[in-house]
Amino acid sequence: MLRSLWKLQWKQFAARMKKGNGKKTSGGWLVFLMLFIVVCMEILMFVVFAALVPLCEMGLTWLYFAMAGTMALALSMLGSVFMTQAQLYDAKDNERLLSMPIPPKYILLTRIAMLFTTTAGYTLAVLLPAFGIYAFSYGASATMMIGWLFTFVALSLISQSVCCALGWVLHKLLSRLRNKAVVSLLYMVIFMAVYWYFYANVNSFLSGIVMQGTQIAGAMKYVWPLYAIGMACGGSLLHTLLVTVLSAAIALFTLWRLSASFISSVRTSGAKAGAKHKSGKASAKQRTPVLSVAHKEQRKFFTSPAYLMNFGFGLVVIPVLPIAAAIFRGKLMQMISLMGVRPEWIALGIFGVMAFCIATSCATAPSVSLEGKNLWVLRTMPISGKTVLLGKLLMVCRLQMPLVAVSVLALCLIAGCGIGLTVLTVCVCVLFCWFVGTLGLVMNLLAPRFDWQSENQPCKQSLSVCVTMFGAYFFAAVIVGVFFAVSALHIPGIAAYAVTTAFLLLLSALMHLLLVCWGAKKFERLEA
Amino acid sequence: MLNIQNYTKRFGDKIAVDDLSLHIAAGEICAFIGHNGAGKTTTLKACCGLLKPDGGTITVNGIDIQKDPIACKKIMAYIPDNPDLYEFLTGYEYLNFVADMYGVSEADRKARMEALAERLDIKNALPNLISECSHGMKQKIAVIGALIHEPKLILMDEPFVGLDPIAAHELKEIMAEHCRNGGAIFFSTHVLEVAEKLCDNVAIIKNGKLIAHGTMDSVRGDGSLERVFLELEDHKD
Repeated sequence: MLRSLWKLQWKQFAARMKKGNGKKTSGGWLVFLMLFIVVCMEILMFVVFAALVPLCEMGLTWLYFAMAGTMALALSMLGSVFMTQAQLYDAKDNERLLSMPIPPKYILLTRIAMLFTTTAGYTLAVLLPAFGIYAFSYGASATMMIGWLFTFVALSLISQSVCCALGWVLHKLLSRLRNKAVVSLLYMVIFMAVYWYFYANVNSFLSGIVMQGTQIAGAMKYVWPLYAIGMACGGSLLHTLLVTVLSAAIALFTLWRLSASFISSVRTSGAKAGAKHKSGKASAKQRTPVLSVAHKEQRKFFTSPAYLMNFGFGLVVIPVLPIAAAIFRGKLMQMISLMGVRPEWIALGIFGVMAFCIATSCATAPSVSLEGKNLWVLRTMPISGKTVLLGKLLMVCRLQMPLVAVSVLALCLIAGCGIGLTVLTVCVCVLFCWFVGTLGLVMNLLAPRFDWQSENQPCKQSLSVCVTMFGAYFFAAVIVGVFFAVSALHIPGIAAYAVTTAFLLLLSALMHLLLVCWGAKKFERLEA
Repeated sequence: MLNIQNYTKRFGDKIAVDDLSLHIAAGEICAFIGHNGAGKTTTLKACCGLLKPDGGTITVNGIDIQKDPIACKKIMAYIPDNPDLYEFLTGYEYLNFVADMYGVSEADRKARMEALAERLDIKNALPNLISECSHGMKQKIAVIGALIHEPKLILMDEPFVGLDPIAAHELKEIMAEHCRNGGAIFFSTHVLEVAEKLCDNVAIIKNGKLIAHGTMDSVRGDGSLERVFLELEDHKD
């Protein structure tokens, strides 16, 4: 029975990797992207552990490994909790499997086993640099290596167990909420805020840890599991055994508790307990088809956790930027005057930051794919493909453009840019919203997928999203390049900026033409 | 009203529909019956422009669905077998969305929504999110969505699945009224008794080929439609 369930999990995973017609997707780009992200993360981890390795010289080797263990736990929990909640409790075949004589623990076990590979990946991403730096600096004994291996497995088990427990809590919370999408976005914002805070202050944190190593060690010794992990990695076989037993006990306890509550938790999903959304208007104001599609898209955006979490981040960051600039105005102006930066370059810098936020929030990129099984609704309506695409574009533009315009205006005022530069910077940033919006739709029309099982697939694992985002970064760099190229012709700064704006206007207009001509016909031929 | 001429559709090596020709005039209800995987849904989808034919033409009131899809879609409506509606909208929001697409005025949409919701007994569920509705309720919302713009031609793929007996009865009444008022209906069903009582014409498809077509009396003869269908299925084997 367990083997059959395991085979089923693998077949579901394999089916997600295939196109709707049964052919394998070209996973090359996905592998490349994942490798890129892994490399970036590993570089950061190497920097962190290179800074922490002096702890070993102070006789605090266990603290060094305890820190590594703590970071591994934190990263794998943060990275896996939402996925764990979705895979365990939101899986579409839960009720079907529970209606058969299958013990819930078997269903949970096979699902958790799949999740475990991801959690173990996160854990390894932190531990590998930690072990590598230590081995490079001091060498590694056989007992140490045994400790590392068992600690890696133990930490992965503990992380997964905590993720399962947190996933259960999250599931209970989400089932009571009306708008899950906002919770997902809030989680993303908090996560990114913590990440950026850590990233901005990593040097001072690390040097502080090393300088106060003895005091930290004294306090951490009372947190026995962390002390035991540190000692196990340091080569203590006794602590290796204790950590292994502890992790196995936690894992088994978690499985037992979750199995006991699995059926009632799944029933909660099925009943969709919680606040029911009510909109009591029998008739609403008549809208044109374009506005109606835009309204529908907006409702989709703000009610879909995957969509909002992955593409709503810019909407939060864009208005925060001028607030942050106002708070740190003194330091910013000091830096600008020290560097002797010209006003046009400040404006270009503002464009660069905005362009990054806009590119990261390319909400049109998965928009066509997200129609999924609902594609028939738009395709059977007496509206052209152009109307649909303009509606989708309008949704994104009317969300982003006002925010961008106001934010850029505020940033330019704070930075002391003149009126001309301010107007041009607002124009170029607003135009970039339009450009990225059309680019996203064109990319999605080139490679749409409608056979997804979870909205995370078109939002996160989509070629169109990847190409749009990186393509937008590339075009932003091209815009900056055009400015410098024009400036090299000894054209005054503001005039060069105006030429750059005109270039972007032309680019956006061409992309728009491509969308409404080729894109519209492509949409009208789509078959779900 | 609907003219299907030598329609062929392939999916890879498989011929889903093979040289199918069918005509449905105004005022007619035509039942489209066949075994699972016969090609009924493929044919219906092609009639509403969701699938491009690999051969043949499909016209609605003389207009080719592939050449001028918008003109055709303005006068037709489609109800799929699985009511995959926008789960993030409420029933009212979805119906208003559909009404916007067809340009139905505020007054007309309000009146039609109220009337149809009353007939299908779904008024209390329309303010709720579609995700909170059962399969049958979604089917009813899909039916109202199809009727809100008073189409001339209605294409339905197994419309009675999931409907309670009262709603099924009301839908049959609505279908009969629609055709009495000059409209046409082309629908697939596995419920042969409904087809017998309701329909003027019947078309039987097997493995992508039309094996019988005509008035109910001519196809059924002295027996029941069920017996004719089973005999045809066996005979053609």
